[in-house]
Amino acid sequence: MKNLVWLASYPRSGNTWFRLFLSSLLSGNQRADLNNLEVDLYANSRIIFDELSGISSSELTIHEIRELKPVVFQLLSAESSGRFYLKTHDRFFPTPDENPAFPPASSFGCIYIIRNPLDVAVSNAFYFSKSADEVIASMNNPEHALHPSVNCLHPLLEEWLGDWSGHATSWINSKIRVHVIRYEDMIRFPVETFSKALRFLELTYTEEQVKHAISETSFETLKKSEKQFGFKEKLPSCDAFFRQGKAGGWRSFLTESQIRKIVSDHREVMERFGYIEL
Amino acid sequence: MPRLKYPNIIKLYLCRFCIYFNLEFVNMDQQYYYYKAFGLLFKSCIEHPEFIAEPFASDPDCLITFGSVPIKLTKPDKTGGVYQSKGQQFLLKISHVGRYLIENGDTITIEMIPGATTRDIVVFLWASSIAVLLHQRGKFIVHGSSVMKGEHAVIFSGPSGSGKSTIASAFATHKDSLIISDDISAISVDSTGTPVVLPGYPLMKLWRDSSDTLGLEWDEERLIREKVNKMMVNISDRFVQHSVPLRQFYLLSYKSNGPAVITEIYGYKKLELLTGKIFRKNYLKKGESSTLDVFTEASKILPHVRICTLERMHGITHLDETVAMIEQDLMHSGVMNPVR
Repeated sequence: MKNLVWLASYPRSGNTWFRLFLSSLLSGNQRADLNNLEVDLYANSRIIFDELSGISSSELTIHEIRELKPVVFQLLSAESSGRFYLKTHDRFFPTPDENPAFPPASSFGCIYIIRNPLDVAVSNAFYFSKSADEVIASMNNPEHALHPSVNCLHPLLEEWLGDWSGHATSWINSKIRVHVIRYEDMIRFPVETFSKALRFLELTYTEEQVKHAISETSFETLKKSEKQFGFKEKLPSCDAFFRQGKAGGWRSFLTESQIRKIVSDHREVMERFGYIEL
Repeated sequence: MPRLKYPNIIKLYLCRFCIYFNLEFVNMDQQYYYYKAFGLLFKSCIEHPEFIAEPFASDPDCLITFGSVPIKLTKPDKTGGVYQSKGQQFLLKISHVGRYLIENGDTITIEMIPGATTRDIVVFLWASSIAVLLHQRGKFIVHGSSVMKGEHAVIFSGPSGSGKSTIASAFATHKDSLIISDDISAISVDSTGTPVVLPGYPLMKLWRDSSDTLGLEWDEERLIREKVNKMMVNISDRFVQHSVPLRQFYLLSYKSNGPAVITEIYGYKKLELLTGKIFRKNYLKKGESSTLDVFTEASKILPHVRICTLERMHGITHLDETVAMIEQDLMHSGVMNPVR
């Protein structure tokens, strides 16, 4: 059954915002409760993996986990005829035995959220408490992975991001139907951008409902909510999950050489998505 | 040794021939060792120097042996990511490691995949395979590590990575407690109606951070598997060899910041919480193939046990404070008083 919807992105690109918007709509246009979301399934949840595979992921090598991922997703798909919305920061990759990690036969489609890599670099630097240079290097590393369990077991399975450009093209060129959203368009043309995504997902809501969900998940509302109730997805080491919520913050943060490095590493994909003014 | 290869292949085919024609295959060359774990006597073809050895016994409860294991079961009742089950037969398949056939609650047959090591085999033997065997015998097993505090057992349950082994070993290291079982705890109701935790085996699996915090020496040779960064720690000197009355159950979960929070659970939620932590619950089959009536068993256990949730930050952050908080909770709640 094609009932898995992937909400995929490189980290800090607007994935959580989109999930919050969708949660608000799916829960009947209520204010999204940050710690009790309607759309809170994580494709790399260790609990889901262990439960469905029938084995403890903490005893498997990363190759064995990658091999089992499509099996787990197929089992999840078979659990219910309803839709599953799954957030992921993984790139679209083939398993070591050459199966797609995200099985097309079980996938309804993918919403891929892309953001200007210059802003992605800044946001990741703040969020992961790293220098911009470190982040820029990792954005060009095909083996870059999030939270590998080296010294302790992370609640999420390791996510294989790879390089920023490869991440985007891996999903866009995959055998799953993909709808790409630019983070910058979510800010500038929210009603139009979110409505298009809903049409892709074959979800019918009135413009009024869409506008209401957008206002319930505005950056200011989310920031206030995080301050008041906390957000379980925030890293303990960073001050806040919702930091600035702006496009173009890189202009006052990155040096000339850092900008040049990002542009040179990712020119082709940046041009394709309008991040380089020609 | 190369000269052993040929006879082993013959043995394998002979074994498959026997299975095909429903004959019993006995490998006379295998050496066996006897160990006690989870209240059962095991006759095992794998040596575990850390385990509590038992003298030769002619009637062990369970046999662990190498042999030929089918690639799949015919018409299975249930299929999961790495397993199939049919009645009292359960097939566990770990790619690159081996296949385990667990039958009737008394036999585990293992076929290694070339390239796998005994270390690899042991990991899936003494967790998932034993869990199946205990399920087949109708035991109530939860995903949790247990310690003996005073005269009573305390279980720390929760998902992988929630800190079960870390907190249990912190108690054993610093708080004069003993380990009853790591990762899986088998609960049985004794003849007086008291739920008791059965001793597992004297090994713990710890990640580097936990091992360092507890002052243990990190040894790459002791990793549970070559590419899995978890160390097998011998806890023979801190291990209880008898069953211990269960009085407290903590369910661990994550929070993003701040100190740990303990909340006592009452009423129906206790049942929900305890049954929700049954280890490898998905292995349990509905109907005739499971001998465990989960709810009946849980209702016998619950009146004797205080159940709390324990929210804490991930990893070893605030470990000492968390352990101190649990100590205080155990003291103030009175669960450590003598059994009434």
